Amino acid sequence: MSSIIKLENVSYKYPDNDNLENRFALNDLSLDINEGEFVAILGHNGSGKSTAAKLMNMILTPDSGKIYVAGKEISDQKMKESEVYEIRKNVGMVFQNPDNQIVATVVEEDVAFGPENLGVPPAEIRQRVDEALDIVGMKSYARHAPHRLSGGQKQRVAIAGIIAMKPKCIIFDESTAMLDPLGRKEVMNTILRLNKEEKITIVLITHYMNEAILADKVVVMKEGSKYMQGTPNEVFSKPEKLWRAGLEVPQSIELINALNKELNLEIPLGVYDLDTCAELIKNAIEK
Amino acid sequence: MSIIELKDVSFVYGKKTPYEIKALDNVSLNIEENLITGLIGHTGSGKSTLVQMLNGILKPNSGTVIVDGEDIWKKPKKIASVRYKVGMVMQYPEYQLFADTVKDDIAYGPKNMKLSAEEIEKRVFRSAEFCGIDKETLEKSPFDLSGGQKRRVALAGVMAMNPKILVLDEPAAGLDPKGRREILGGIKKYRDESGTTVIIVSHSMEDMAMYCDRVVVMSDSKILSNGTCREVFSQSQLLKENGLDVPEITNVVLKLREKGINIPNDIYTVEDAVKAISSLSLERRAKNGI
Amino acid sequence: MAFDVSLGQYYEGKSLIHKLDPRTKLIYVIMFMVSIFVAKSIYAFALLSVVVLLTVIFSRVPIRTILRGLKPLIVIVAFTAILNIFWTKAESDPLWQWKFITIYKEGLINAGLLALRIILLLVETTLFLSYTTTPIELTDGIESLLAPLKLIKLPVHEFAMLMTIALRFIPTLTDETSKIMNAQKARGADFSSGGLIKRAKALIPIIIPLFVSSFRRADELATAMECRCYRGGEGRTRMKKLKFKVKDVFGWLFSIALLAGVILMNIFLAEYGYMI
Repeated sequence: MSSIIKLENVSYKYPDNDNLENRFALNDLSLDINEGEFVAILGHNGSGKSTAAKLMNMILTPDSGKIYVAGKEISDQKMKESEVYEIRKNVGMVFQNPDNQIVATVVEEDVAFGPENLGVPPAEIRQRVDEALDIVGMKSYARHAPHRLSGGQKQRVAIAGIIAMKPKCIIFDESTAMLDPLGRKEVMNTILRLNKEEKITIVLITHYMNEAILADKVVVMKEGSKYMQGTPNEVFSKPEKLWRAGLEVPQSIELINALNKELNLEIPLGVYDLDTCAELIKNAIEK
Repeated sequence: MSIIELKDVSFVYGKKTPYEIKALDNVSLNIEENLITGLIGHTGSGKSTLVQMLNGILKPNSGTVIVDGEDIWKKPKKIASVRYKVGMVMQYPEYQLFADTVKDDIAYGPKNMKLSAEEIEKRVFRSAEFCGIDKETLEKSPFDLSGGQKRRVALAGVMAMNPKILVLDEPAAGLDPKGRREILGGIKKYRDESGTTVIIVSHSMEDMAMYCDRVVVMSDSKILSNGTCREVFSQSQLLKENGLDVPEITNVVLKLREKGINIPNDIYTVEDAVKAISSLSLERRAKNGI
Repeated sequence: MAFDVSLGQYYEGKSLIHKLDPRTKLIYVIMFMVSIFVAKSIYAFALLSVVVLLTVIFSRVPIRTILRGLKPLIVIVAFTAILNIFWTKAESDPLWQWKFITIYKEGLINAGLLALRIILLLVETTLFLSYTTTPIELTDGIESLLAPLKLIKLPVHEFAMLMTIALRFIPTLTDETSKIMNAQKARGADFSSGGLIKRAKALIPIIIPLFVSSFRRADELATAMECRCYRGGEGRTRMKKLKFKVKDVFGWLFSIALLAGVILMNIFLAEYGYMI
């Protein structure tokens, strides 16, 4: 598998240090995101996870270290503008607040915004817009006004706007944080479909562990550095370590962990569905 | 004793237009004094409308709202006085901060109540303490704080009005797990020490189970279920039929029951589940003479 | 229905007027304005009135809707007309005199024609640019018509973008304002009592959060636009290109014919009509 985004010993410090929100930056972060992969970056507020995302499509440039996108170094300060746009076309980004990323007053006009900026011919834009709206399941809303939609629908329109640019990779910067459970489910289903069917590389930045569980690889950040990395199974089977990073684990893992201690059991920790979890507990206590 | 009583309250948005939406349909509800009541339901279930009935931001089309023994719409001109009794913390309250310092912002409510300067000062410090805001932060500009801190300042601003009832719309929205625990834990501590009645609107069943005494479930402009956590979360079937869920731990327990383990069906915290399973297992071990 | 700024007063329809290119409509409205102002002959006014009446019927926008839209402006029209009655001085014998107020026949006619002018202008402008055109079509039309001004470095595209974003965000900010107002009301804010200064002061807790949040939104929107490769109008294509159709040619011809007709009437029918 070839890597699509690679961070090598990247450090970043916000110039305005007084601002508490920006106090945490990145400290010697190395990260590899492979083509076609679904990577979740998990971390508490201020752990540097959003900063990492902003470095990946050149909203920010690192103080030190190197960043590569599709093999091309992007941490070089002297890049041409056209090269910057080439990177942004390939690495799309969906933000937290759906309201603040929709530009036009009609859904399909907004989805067309990206391809229009890229200078795509009108007929092809039309085709891309229809396709993108179809993928996110918003085709029947093409002529609607965005501000009348629900949070989950707005976020899907924002995703369609990125897909229409045909990116190789999409970064979701806490894109589910402001949504209700239904909206979150809609967006997560869309993300999974993009990854599995459209083969788009996904970087999901979140602090919801039940979203991270769906990823191929989980990176846990703490205070600007990489704290843990592995498959969801590997990461979530270490509840104590996650708690120390201000995060939580699924209740099923919490239960098994507590039972192991309380009753001296040795149920292996991991991400299980309800049935497996219940079966393991049943077998252990009936032994 | 109930401190809030809704009697047959109905509310319709955009009445007599083609865009008419029924938000509350003959809702009757009692909220018990000194308890933390969780209000849960999908977006559009009517829970936000219900909450806005409590301090008179919306007026019911029919039915009565009784707060602390008084019909709040008896004298419509005095509706503002209800707002001192029912403190309301809206969603993302950090966006309402405006003053030069955190202290001034917290003092805004008490000042509107025309309290004495000493009393205001006292209340500002007290509510800041509840919300974990230190003295140094009080002198800072609210716009220099982190998102989580801003949220706490906004919360302190409402607490400083000493409301009899504190209503919070998704107080933990968008916070990470640690931030959620801090803010919800702080609210619980505040209730324990001040005896305030608290209503929390939330989407998280796990949070409700952990911090609330009672739960009211809304669906389709009506009340679907209302009772203690134990009562409500034992109705997993009813909740699931309406597109809601029970805490994950309750689902694990239900699966264990399906598999023939004799465990009660009204468990809704990990702690209780551990206790129940442990005692079962110890019983079994004792029986087998281990 | 609540006023929806993204649609303005748009009245959904499929009439010929709805289907005209927004640029044609803009050109027509300009021609109509010129016609209204050069019109002198009473016959010209009759022609313009008939044109307005016909376009209203053609558009299938209910006359009641249009009259309702005029309602708030009636006071201004009446006020201007009445001023005109008093201000007109003529050679003929006054109709009525009281102290320093003198009313002439010419004054009454002047006032009537002025009111007619304003009303015709309002009806035709709102009919073409508001009831039958969405704001987004209008913006596109303006951008395209002003395109030649890019040659003298006027930021035409930026202006159009600005209008689009404003239209997009007005409902969002309206929502936000009412949320902030409710939040401050819940903290005991009182916006409706006291003198002017007290009321203005009471608005500070609303205006400051609104400003802060607008700046935050602007900042986030700018980043999002950059991430979608926005770099101004250069090299940009559009999904929907405005295209003139055969009916637009008729539209232009009609516009020219109208203006020509009014001018000809001024010249040749002057002796038959009242000249002002």
